[in-house]
Amino acid sequence: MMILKDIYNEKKRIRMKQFLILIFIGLNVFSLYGQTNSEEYDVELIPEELLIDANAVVRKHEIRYNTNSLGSATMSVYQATTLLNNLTKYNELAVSYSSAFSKVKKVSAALYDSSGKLVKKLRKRDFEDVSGTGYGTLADNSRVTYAELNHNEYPYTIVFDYEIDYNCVPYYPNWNIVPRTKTAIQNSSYTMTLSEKMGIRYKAHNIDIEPIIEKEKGKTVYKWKATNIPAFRPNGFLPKYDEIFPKVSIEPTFFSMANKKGSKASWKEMGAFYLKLNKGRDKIPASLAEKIQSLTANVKTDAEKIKLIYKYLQDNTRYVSVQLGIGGWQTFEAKYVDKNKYGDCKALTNYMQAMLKSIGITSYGALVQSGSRIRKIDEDFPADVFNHIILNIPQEGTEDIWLECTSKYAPMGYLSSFTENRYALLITPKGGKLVKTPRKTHEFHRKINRATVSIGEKGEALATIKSETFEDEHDDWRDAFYELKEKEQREYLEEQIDLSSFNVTKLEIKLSDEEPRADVNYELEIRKLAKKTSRRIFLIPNLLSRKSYIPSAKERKIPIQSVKGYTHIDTIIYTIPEGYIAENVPIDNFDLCTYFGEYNIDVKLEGNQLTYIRRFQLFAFSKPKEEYEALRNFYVQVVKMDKMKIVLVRT
Amino acid sequence: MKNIFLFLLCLLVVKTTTAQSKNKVKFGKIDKDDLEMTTYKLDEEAEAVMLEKHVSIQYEIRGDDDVMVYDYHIRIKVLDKAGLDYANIEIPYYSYKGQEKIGSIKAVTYNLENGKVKKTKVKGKNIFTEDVAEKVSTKKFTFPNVQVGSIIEYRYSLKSKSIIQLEDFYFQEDIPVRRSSYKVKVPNFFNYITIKQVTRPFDVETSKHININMGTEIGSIKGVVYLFEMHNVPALKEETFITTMDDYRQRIRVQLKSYDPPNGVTKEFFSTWEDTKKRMMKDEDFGGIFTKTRTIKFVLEEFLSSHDVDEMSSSTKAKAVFNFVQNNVKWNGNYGIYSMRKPKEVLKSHSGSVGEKNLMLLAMLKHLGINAHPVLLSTRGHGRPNSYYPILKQFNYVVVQVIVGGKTQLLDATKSFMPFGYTDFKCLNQKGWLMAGNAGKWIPIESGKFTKMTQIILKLDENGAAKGTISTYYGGYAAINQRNKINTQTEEEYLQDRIKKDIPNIEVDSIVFKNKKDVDEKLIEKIHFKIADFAEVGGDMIYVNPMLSEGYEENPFKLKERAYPIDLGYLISKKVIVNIYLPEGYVLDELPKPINMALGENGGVFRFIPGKIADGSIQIVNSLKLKKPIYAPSEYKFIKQFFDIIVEKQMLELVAKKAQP
Repeated sequence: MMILKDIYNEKKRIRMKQFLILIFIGLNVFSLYGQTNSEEYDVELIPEELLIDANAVVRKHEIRYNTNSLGSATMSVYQATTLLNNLTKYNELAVSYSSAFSKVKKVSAALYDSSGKLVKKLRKRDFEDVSGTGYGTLADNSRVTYAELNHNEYPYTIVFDYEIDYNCVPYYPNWNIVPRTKTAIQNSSYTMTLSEKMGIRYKAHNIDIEPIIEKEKGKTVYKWKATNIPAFRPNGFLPKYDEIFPKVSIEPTFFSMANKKGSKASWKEMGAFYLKLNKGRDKIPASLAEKIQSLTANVKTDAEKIKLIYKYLQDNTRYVSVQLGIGGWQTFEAKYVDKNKYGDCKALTNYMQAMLKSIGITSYGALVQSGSRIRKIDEDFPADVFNHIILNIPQEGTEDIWLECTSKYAPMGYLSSFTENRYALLITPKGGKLVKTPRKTHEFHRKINRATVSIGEKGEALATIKSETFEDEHDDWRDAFYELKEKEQREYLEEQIDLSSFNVTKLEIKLSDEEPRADVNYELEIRKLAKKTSRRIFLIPNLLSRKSYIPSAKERKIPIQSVKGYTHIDTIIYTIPEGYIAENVPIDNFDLCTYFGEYNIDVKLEGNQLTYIRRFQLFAFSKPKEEYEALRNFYVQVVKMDKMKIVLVRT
Repeated sequence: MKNIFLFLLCLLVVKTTTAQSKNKVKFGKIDKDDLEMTTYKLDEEAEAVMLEKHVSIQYEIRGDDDVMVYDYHIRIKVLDKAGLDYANIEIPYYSYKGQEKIGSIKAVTYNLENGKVKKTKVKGKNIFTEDVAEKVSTKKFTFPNVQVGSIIEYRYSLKSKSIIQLEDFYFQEDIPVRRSSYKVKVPNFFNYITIKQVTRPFDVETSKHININMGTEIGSIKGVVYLFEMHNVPALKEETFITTMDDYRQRIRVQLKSYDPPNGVTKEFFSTWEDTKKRMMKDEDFGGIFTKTRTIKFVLEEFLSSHDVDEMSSSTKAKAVFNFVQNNVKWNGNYGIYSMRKPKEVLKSHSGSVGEKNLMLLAMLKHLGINAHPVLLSTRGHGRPNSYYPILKQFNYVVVQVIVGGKTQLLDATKSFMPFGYTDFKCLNQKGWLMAGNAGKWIPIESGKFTKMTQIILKLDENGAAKGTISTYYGGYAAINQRNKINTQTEEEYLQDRIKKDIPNIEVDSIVFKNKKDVDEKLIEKIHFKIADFAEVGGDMIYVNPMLSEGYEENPFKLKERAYPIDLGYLISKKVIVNIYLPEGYVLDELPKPINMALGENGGVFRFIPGKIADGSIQIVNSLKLKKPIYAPSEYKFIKQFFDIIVEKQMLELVAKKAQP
């Protein structure tokens, strides 16, 4: 099932809980303390090809997972990693666990020099047990057992070895063969000794591999093994981890939690378990039901009612995350939220659902992954990848309404790219159903700037700008409107503007209640917009949208991807000082049309009025690595044209 | 003007005048006007206002322990949605061996509903204790039923076994504070002193003699109660180029000076710098590290096994020791003036804190007969040190002063690539306490230097393509920064950071370094490059900005005005010399005008000197010097203007024309 480590949708996502990267590392094949030196960790033994692009080489990584009964398992991890330079953090040894469901039984580490000579060891008492609770979470059971090992000479090898006991097994660890980028793998294996009660399902990604299956003492043993995987160094337009790295997803079929049995055999059954665990927690007090009734008495349509109730939710509750024990899966009761006026994503969604139910509107919770770095979901492989929940309100004839219940400011029905365009598991009375959240193309996320600028004799300028922003492009302005003071809003705008010396003399933000839209109107006093020599004026007419990023000129080894697109259109009308004529307008019309995006420029000079129109669109795309050069070329041209300079000379 | 703050320092003495402390605050007694408040009239944009912030401290005896009991009481009004965050409370404390305990937490939300005050309490089961690390815990809770307009109020007591240095108290917060007070009640046999970091007088400052009831066994004893109160303190706003905002926050700090028991001997606590030094020298984790041969023996032997010091001059020897510590122990990111582990253990782990590394360095130097002393510092982020009274808590960094070859230098072996004679940028915080002689003395920490000289040679062709070299000489902190980058990044990453992010279409043919690791020499970097579309070509004209992003392209000072000093930490010297060679047959159409500009009272200079070397070749010399490490807020607008002109000059445009044959 899913751990709903909730993620707070606001404040530019800074508060997103930082999941500690849990590297499921190796197993204890021999006792560390029995030995002194280990020739197998001689650095000379690393194959040449594994050193390319690598900061570290995983020499041996073994995960051994033993399931005992429906709710208990032991994981042993052994990882030997050679650090080639000081650019990695494999010397930071962390075991993340939940104090409610697991216990670190053993943990130790050792450090070997480049020849494999033992330098030092760490025992359990050398590790510190610290809190893993993230910023923005009031309480959970997250703990980390932590230590650091250092040596003065690279390369060196660290062997990290630990064992965890679990008393609740809603999932198995996946086999992420490449734990991090810039890391090569020499040997990695995963051995699962299975209790039939739990069952197993698995699926390989980006690697062609099948386990060897053997019977051992009445149990079935599954063993995967991989060797010699070279390191990978990322650059821009990266696909999701799951789409490029070799890994095997491994999941139980059955599990048990809070004395309730659950199944992951299908999405339907997964949803049914969530429903069972949260059954009866949606009762609201009569006083609230009455309040909702009277609040919505004067409006007719469901949409209007939903809007009023959503506003009630936003004005009266706030996001607070408490996830102790099964609190990661089970919601606070609706009446608790009603009394305390706070809850996490499950609790606020459940509360909203309950309020709607009280006036006869049906809605369903929908489990999703939040943020931009999400795991891939295979329709035919039910797995617990979710970390957030939103609300779906089915509509007849029109598109469903979706609500983000943790947002204080979002207009009704707006999810934002935090949860848009991805799979969600709808929790219906009939069980789970895999659906997709709304998809927004580059046409939705748009910013339309219209500016008039008058340039003075010395190159100074006054500019009046009207900026209409939508969807993604509007999010930060909505936050700024509510969270920042007037002075801070101006400072925020100043940061967006790439001019050398200017003042914001006026700023007005208007938000729409109906749609994700912010109209930002502002005025700038620019000390030096155009460069001035004794006879000439140099003007870069692209006032507001200069791009400077170009993907690096490196050979591309993986496909390219852009998850979402956007549209920027600028129309800028300049009035130039009297007596000047154009000496050089490099290009007055320019068009680029590619798979990745489109770019157009139009420049027109009539009398003392110069009109500059720029349109830039980035699309969502997935392309093979061969297209990288074309993508890079697109950006090279855009960056060049964005800097285009017009030269005016005095007649 | 270096300090905008007055450091007021005084003994807590009883004043004869006592003002009336009016309107005593009582928990739960909420003013209806406050509940009805929709904006705070002294700061209409405030998202919340701290209506009350009080602490009352008293001395108690618990079993065998002397404890200080702090009763905190805080009341906050939430004024808009952004202010709801103030309803999430975290109280960190030092839980190690029961050193500090938190108890009696009471927290209530107040709302006005239909004209009546509705109270909602935080239940005990909703108060969480998070064991953050081995020695530190946090009490966490959130207020229920909080809405815009709510008042939240909480109190708790903290019992601390530390009676020498009391907890600092801030009268100022990030939101406005309507009333805050600090009250301390102690028996007469304790003498405390206070250090007040304030820019304004207290609204109430009183003291009076009282009898303190110490329980049935001891009975009533004579004591004093002191009260400091401030009203209507504005919110503190964050700004850049600063040491730490805490340097500018209204604060009080109290420390025990002496203990004078009724029937015993007076005990002085850090009463003088002299005593403090003596105590520190006896401290096992400080003086014990470098005064005893036994402690450093192992490390010295390790060092001597690979170094023959007999033939070395004292300065060569000092450098060898410095390099040994720097290279054999990696900094673990921790600060502190003590070495909590013995040098042997530190060396074996190859990892240590500032105190562990630099005290090891000190111990080795001393035992090799080199004149060396510790210097205690407070880093920029930790706040400015005061020299009036020996309060150790203000220090978080230790460096070593050595006198070798007739030269006095400060050494800091904490980080890699720090040259001999330099301290980390974080240490550039005006002054430090040198622990030499009887009482030690305060010495100024010389502001560092940041020097960078760039020479650009640029050849243009008719199509606007350029090729050439950029040679850069880095000195002082510029070299330290750059070496850190060079040695922790791949060449690709370095080039991206160094030049490609500014000139994306540059093709780097080669990059060569000189003295990449030799920190005693100037770091030199030479880049050979080509750029296809560098100059703009239009008809017979060529337009070009030859600075290659080595100048300022925008003003680093963006804000209109500023309330706090601009603390750069070091003196800056940046020089860029550009030699441009035009394509054959082209002549310069316009040459930019030179400028020679000074910044205020010897604050800095900027020179911009363009000149023709020959037909078709031009040289432009840019030279910038900022001669002060700290500028006052009143100088801000001049610096901003100064940089406006620098940007204008460095964003220059050369125009060349094909000569008529």
